[in-house]
Amino acid sequence: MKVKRREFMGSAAAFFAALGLDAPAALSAARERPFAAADYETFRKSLRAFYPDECHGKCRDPRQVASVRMIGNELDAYVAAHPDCDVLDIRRESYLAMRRHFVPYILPGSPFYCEAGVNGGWCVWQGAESVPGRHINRICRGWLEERYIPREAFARLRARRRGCLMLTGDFVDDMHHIPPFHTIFTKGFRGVRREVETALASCPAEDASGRKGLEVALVGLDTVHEIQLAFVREAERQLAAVGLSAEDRLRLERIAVAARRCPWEPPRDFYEGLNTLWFVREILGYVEGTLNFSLGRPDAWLIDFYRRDLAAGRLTEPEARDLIARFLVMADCHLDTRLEIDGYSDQEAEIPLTLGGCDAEGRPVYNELTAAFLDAHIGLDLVFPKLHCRISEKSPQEYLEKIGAMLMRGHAVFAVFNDDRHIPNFMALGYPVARARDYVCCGCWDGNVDSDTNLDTANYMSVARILELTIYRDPNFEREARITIDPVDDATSFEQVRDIVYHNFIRFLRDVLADYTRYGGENVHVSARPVYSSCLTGCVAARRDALAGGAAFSPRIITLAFLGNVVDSLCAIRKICFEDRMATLPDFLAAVRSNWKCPGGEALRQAVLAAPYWGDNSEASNGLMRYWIDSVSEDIRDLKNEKGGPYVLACWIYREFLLWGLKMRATPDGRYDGDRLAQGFAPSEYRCKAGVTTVFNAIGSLDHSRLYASNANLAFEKSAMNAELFAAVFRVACRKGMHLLQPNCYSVEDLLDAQVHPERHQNIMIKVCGFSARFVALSKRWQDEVIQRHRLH
Amino acid sequence: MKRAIVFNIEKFATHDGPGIRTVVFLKGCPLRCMWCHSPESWSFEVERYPDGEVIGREMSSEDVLAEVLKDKDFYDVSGGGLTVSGGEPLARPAFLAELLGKAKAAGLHTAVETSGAATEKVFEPLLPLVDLWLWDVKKLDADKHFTYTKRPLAQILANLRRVNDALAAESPRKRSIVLRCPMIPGINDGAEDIEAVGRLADSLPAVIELHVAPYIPYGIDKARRLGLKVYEAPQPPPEYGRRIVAALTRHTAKPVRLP
Repeated sequence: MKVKRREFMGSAAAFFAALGLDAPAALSAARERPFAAADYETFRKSLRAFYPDECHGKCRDPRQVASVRMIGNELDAYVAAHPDCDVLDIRRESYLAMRRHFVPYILPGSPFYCEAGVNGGWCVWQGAESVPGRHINRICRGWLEERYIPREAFARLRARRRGCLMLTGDFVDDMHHIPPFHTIFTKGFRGVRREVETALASCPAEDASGRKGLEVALVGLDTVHEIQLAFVREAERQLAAVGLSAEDRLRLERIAVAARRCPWEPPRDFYEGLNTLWFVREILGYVEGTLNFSLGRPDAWLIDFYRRDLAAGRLTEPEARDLIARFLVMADCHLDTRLEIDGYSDQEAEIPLTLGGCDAEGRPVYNELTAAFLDAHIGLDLVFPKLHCRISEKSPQEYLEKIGAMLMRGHAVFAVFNDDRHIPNFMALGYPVARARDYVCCGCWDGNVDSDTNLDTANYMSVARILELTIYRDPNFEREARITIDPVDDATSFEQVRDIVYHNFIRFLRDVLADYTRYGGENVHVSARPVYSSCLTGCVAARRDALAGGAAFSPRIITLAFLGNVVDSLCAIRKICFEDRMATLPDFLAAVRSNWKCPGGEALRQAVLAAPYWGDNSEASNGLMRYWIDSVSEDIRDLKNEKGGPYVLACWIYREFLLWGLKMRATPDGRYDGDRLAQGFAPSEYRCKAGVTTVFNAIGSLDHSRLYASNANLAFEKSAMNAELFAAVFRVACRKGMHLLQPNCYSVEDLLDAQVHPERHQNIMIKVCGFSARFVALSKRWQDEVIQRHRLH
Repeated sequence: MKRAIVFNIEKFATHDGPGIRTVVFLKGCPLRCMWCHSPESWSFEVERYPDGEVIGREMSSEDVLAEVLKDKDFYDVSGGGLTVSGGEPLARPAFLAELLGKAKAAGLHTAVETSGAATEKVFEPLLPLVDLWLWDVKKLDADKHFTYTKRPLAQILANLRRVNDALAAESPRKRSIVLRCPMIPGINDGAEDIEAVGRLADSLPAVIELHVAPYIPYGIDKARRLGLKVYEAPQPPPEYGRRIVAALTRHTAKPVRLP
């Protein structure tokens, strides 16, 4: 006897009733309990077998490896046979090859159909051959330099990257893409296809490239549909196996029914909604080679489905809890989060989940799903997904205290986003208010409006490096990187020093932005994304790829890195050389250049450590930080990027604060050669002795409306905090206008003990920078860095 | 404008009244509690440690308030405010009244940490300015109280009752008292001591809570550096505080907790 496929009942009870059977008691037993890691050990094992011990979630299943290779071989053969082909031709062939070779995985215990072995495209870090949609990058990347962008532009770009002056892609950021959830939730891929067909029908004859882009988009969208249907066949294949358990039968039947429909059509229930979040992330990553961060806002987007399903008997609370648990465990299993972390992106799965915030009418979102996701995350002892919790000054106390309670238990997995800052900022950029309120968090700390935005975010500019070059002249590097550095040694006033350093930086930045504007658009010739673009508002109507500026919004985020060190250095120079006159500027710079080891150098350094610093809430340091942010934002205000969008500023940094710091020489803020640098708006670890309120007041003194985003990674002394205090701190952060807080809460005694007895402290999570990790998994140098952080109290 | 010597301003204080607070410590104290953990607060003058570190600086009430108001956002969201401590803040009554008056005008919740050792006339002008009295109860035996603190218990208890009566007469009740009980093993933590504290708390309607403050040896090093003498003993383990709370709870109807 079979269940009627088209009317599959989500609840286990209904499923077995349709079969004329009683639901096995054991089927629901585990789901009745609160989230417990032990209940999902078998599921974790099956996932971990699929993703072996490797960074970035690369799949090693032989069928996956073979299929990706076959697709690559077919593309190589096509290109060899068609030497005049362009990127759209290769995309088309790529989409067609995927239909032939896609391997649909429904992993043991997984209720979802989405798995393509690519971790949303992120495992491209393991090589372009890991992701079929990235073959095009392998094939066409060289074209940028051969055909479209002058070699000298590439030469200086590479020199700047090599010299730790900037982190950037090849004139665009090709590493961060927001899955177009809003589009798929409202229209489904089928709705997108209809729009493309309509645009094609009305495409003017003279717009040959626009027409071609739309035609290839249709091919790609149909490939997405074929991939979706491949999961139906896989579910049916597995259903035909002998000795299937009742639970597996239920799971596979549900997949077989849902995969016929969704997300080709928009989701219509809680289960389909959850699946759509994973499907869009994974399959777009597979098909298009985009690196799709974000698992959306399940509590905001699925709550109506959830409540309707419960009311209609299609779902029970235990079943929903089980789906939520498996949804989350899938994220956590892309890596072995207990492997040592030492390198740049070790154990970085880039899977963020957004919770909380508000709805389109501005009402706070904190509901039974928010609580369930939070409970599940700590109950299941997860590192991933990253929890990006949106708050405002008006957030429910229970929500804020829940986050605080998790921090008190050592579960520092949060980036806490301030709606009261982000939403007005998005509206100032032109986003309609309802869309601005629906922003998700993508990557480490970027809030973005999905489906309306082409994101370009990884453009880090090291202000501290410019300061370093100002002090330690390097004519060879200056020539290679094509930067002009004026020296400061002869400056006769502090204002002169400040202005020289500033102009050295802004001159460099404007040159970088000019290259971006001039050359960034050429990337469309080597990695056009017809399917992804067709899902973004504006691209279809404009008949332009997102890389060519088709999306409604195309900001480019420029990060000002290590501003804290620069401000501290300038504060020190002002105090030592021009106020107290302890040393002349040349003598002071000589001490810095000697790594503070020259006679009198250490005494000068001690005087530096007593000078004003960023975070002490003095007008000396606040004023200098404002000077930098206000001046840079004014100086680039009128510039447009290659897509016609604005350049916007951010202040944050990833692991560069340690890794680039190792390569940087001593600086006037008291750093020795190789010392770490400051993160975002967090005060430099060498200087900060201030408490919570002082640091918050310092950050609050800035005009945050001049920044698209920023970050304050702050550690709180555990003995000084509790959940209620965290709630108060979060509200004040909102009131101060901060964009983002990444809080840690620990006692140094626990961390020191964890270094000696790691087995006792497996569950301590640390928000290192844009990622969290188990403290005991960090290498010694990262552990020591965390231990040495100033803890606010 | 009144001025006083301030030897510390502690921000984000969470154990000196409700919510998040700023505690302003005034220099100078008429008591000499043997277990004092801030002997640097005894003298009314600016001092220096032998290494040159300065203890205290003169500030006007306006300067102090300006510093306190920097954290107003924290008070607003947490129900916190200003706490004035010391030393003994009642030893600077004019400055205290002026500072608290300014704080109230700015909309702040105010608290005073005090031993209660002051002349009677000090209290009346302060009554409308103090939302919460954090009142030390050190030893409820007159002879031993004088031995341990060098101040008479009778004056302190009389002041406590007067303040209590004034607050209890308010309708509705707006202001209150928390009894703070420093507990030093073997000195004031015996069964009789605890029973007496409980009886005292229950006899005072304006007392809303008792806080137990186990001995901390933070004053030893500072005293040595200043050439002063304080009681020296090891810090009791965490369970000591919990045991005292449990014992005191048996002798009073008021809530008892560690701060």
